[in-house]
Amino acid sequence: MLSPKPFKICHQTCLALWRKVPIQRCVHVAAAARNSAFSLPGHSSQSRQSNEGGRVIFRRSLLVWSSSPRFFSSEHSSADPPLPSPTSASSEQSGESMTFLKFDDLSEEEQKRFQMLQFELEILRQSGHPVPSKITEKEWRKVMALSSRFSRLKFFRFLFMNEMSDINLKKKKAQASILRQAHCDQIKAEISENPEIMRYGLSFNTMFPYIRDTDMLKTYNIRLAYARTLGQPIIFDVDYDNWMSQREQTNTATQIRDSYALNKESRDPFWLQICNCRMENETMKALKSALPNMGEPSCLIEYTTKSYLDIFPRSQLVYLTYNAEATLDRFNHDDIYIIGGLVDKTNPKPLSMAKAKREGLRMAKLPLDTYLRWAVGGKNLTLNQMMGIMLDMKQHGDWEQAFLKHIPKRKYLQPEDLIPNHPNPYHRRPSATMRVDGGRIGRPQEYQNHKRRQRGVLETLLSK
Amino acid sequence: MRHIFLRSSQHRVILESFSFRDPLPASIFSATSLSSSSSWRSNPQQRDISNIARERTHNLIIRHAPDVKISPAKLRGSILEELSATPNFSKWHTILTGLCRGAEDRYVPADEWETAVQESRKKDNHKDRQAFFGSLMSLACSFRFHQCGASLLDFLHSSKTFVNVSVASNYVKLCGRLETPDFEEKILAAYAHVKRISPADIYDMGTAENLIAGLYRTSRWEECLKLLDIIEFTGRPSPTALSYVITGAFAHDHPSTALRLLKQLSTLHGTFGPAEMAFTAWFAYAKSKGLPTVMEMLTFTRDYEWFIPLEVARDLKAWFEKEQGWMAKFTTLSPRGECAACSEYMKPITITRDEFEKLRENFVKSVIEGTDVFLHTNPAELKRYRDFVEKNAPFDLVVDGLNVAYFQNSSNHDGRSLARQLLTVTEHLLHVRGKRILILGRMHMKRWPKSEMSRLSSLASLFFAENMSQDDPFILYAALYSGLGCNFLSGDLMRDHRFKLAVKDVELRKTFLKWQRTHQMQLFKVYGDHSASLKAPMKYSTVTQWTESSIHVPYLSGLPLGLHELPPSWLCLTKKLPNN
Repeated sequence: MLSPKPFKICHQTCLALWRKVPIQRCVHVAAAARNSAFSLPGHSSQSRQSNEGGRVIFRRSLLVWSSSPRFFSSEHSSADPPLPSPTSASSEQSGESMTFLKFDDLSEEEQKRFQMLQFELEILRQSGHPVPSKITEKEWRKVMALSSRFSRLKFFRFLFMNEMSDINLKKKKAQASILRQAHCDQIKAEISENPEIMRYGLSFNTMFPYIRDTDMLKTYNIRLAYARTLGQPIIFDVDYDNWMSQREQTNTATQIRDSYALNKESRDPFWLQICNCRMENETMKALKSALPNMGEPSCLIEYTTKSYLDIFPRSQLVYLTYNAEATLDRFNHDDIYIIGGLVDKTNPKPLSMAKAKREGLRMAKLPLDTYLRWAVGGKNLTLNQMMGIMLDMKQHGDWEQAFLKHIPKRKYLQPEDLIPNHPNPYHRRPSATMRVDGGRIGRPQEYQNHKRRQRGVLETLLSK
Repeated sequence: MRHIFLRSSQHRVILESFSFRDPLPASIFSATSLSSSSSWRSNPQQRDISNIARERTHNLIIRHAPDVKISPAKLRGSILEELSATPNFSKWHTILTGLCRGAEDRYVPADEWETAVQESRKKDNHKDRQAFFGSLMSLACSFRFHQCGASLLDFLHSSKTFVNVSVASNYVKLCGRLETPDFEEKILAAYAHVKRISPADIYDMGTAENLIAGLYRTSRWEECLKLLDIIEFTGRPSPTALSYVITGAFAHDHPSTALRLLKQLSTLHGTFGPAEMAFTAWFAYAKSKGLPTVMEMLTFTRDYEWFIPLEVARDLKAWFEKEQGWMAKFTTLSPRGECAACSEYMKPITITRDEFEKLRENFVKSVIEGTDVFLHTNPAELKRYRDFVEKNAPFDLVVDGLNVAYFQNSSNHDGRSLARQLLTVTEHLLHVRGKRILILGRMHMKRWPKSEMSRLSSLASLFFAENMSQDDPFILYAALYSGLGCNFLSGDLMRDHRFKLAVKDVELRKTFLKWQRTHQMQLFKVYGDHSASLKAPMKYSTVTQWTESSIHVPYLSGLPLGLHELPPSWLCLTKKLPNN
């Protein structure tokens, strides 16, 4: 594993060798004699490295200088010797050493840039910017891809926030476990005092059987399998990878993961499909890491490189896009709805509308204006919100209830604040006459027909 | 100022609450006498040499370099700008005002620093503890608290705490704003310290810019060029950093370097010109060389489409009046481009035939079709429209129907009133200009009342795009197809189309902007249902221009301008006639 060139083995490389991870060389630039007079509390002169979950994590003291005994100050007292010129500084004993991380596959130019970025991180830390205490190799490579200082600042802030939320979560969990322990101890003490008394409640005598998570998962999977054979398909079209930034691609993946979870826990799930996916794309990579069992039999999610046009009849397909002209008044149980797997935070363009137009598909938008008075924000919804609305519509067919449940509250005015027939349109409740069936709650006739049809199919299958 | 407030809403709230009720320290404006330097006392010979060198540079700076003093309003603006970039600044500001007793710069004794450090150690987390000295030094730098910064350094010295790069580089920047003559040795001492910490010349952008902000005033200003190269490793140098180096180059009589950097600034940041400081140094250099160099400078600003700031315009005026014996006046222009002072007409904006042809060819390719025709329209509709234009062209005016109908009409969206407004404006246009008009709309306008729509179709050609299509590219297409004589009426600034037109071709984008400025009309007001007033297209070009007897220079008066707007303020310089 050692490269032929001899290099100075330090603590980091020893650890790297020991843990059999790819070697990151640790190079001392200008390793002069270190006679540290004083160092700031955060600056230990040793950089540590640990292996967490197979990833190499470098502790925060990547870049370290031992301090110098020589200072400059605003006033130089007569006792001070004259300031050394920069040329003489290196010859003196007051040199500092900075330890930089090094990746083997970088060229010399890139390595220099990498060193500058490490220096930048240290300076940002010194000037109080929110930066993470440790950065993994993968994250460093992302930092290297960013061209401007501002974007790097944003990325460091993002990592810092993640780190802080992790720490806070751990704190909360620790507190909760202390409380739980105290509660348990108290009950144990009570039981030991009078062991004769019958106790009712959870984890004592109760009429409810204990249902384990695995049992629930089995139930969910049975429903998903049923949907897989006979249910209504719903499609995520992840063909927009080139239009998204890295962050948006990751967001798309997490939203699809959340949609999958919603679908799984629903009483009447869809047959979830992901079309046009290429595994080399960032979105799919992120989805693979969000759903590690994707592609295995335990994960009932379908993904293909094919287009939906090759799988389903064109007449049944409906593309849901907020740029569409037509409104989806009624949820049709025979149609196959397509949701564009697209997060457009920075540069919204009518991409899904353009695609549906090009492919000559029917397209529709949700009847948001018929049921809600919009307050702020765009009328584009996240993928998991769309999934939630479609699942609810499949169950009960009431738009208003579905919207109120899944659209964030800030986006619309609350219905109880609105007045029917108010002269000011801002306070006026959306007209009920526009709604399908007057917006009544309950399953429409179509759903019953659909269920009857399904039952018929099942019976014919069973009779064979 | 404007862009600070737009940067983040969170900051805006804090910045607004952070009012300048406390008067700014008087020391900012007066030359503070800092404790005089005595570092060379031990070695008299060295001291003499350094004194000679310093006097020489000082003379140079007196001859050319800009005044470090700035007006209170400008100072406030620049402080706000810097504060908005300081993380967690309100907290550090509280500590700083506690130490400096309000907003007064003073030499804080070491024991007060000690207590402040101890207090913050108690409260703060690990991150803030590390950032204590760096943040306070950068804040002191923003407020120009020289004595406070010096006392912080002395405290670090006496408590044997390591002076880190953040503190040292901010001190360099602070000394760059110092008005006493001993700034140079302070800057160089701090710079030497930074160099000692990072011997391999590895700096990040922030440190390098801080170093440049001090170093440009000293005799070692040429190292700024090296620092600029270092910045290019991890980003592109900001206009401020480049302006500092340009100032340094002019102040030290290196015009060739300065001109090279000015060119670099133009290629990196386009029409975003150098800072006022750099302009002042430039003019100071130019006026020491005489009229031809001043004209060279004006040619430069004309070619790069930069505008000189007010201070420089004042200098220019004074210099032309006193040294050259010209007449100089601040004026404005009439809409036709007539100077109010000397009644001379400005040059019109000219677009050559070739430029226009190139623009027309590129337009359909990159804007309408773009990467995906379906984003704005569809092929069938595009063909239908192109056939329509070919059949009916040329037009004299293309009107954005919906834009006109909805103008001033934010509350009443009923079809009849919208149609009436469009009809009024069309009739007014026909009455005033009496020409062939094309009105572009969308399909849903067909649902507007029949009486108005039929009258409209008898007055002008009508084309309805599909409801899902964008109509702006269609308007531009018809206007471009009809040739240079055709104007268009729309309130849209067409910025996205301009961007799409030439993502890489800067020249093409400039041509489009020129064409747009000379051909776009905007509604100014609609009077009831009888007439309307319009903003005519621009008649003259807003760049520095001269004839044999006069020079006209547009300048930035300091009033806020939109991104697409050009300054309305001009400086008129005329030769005095011999008989006057």
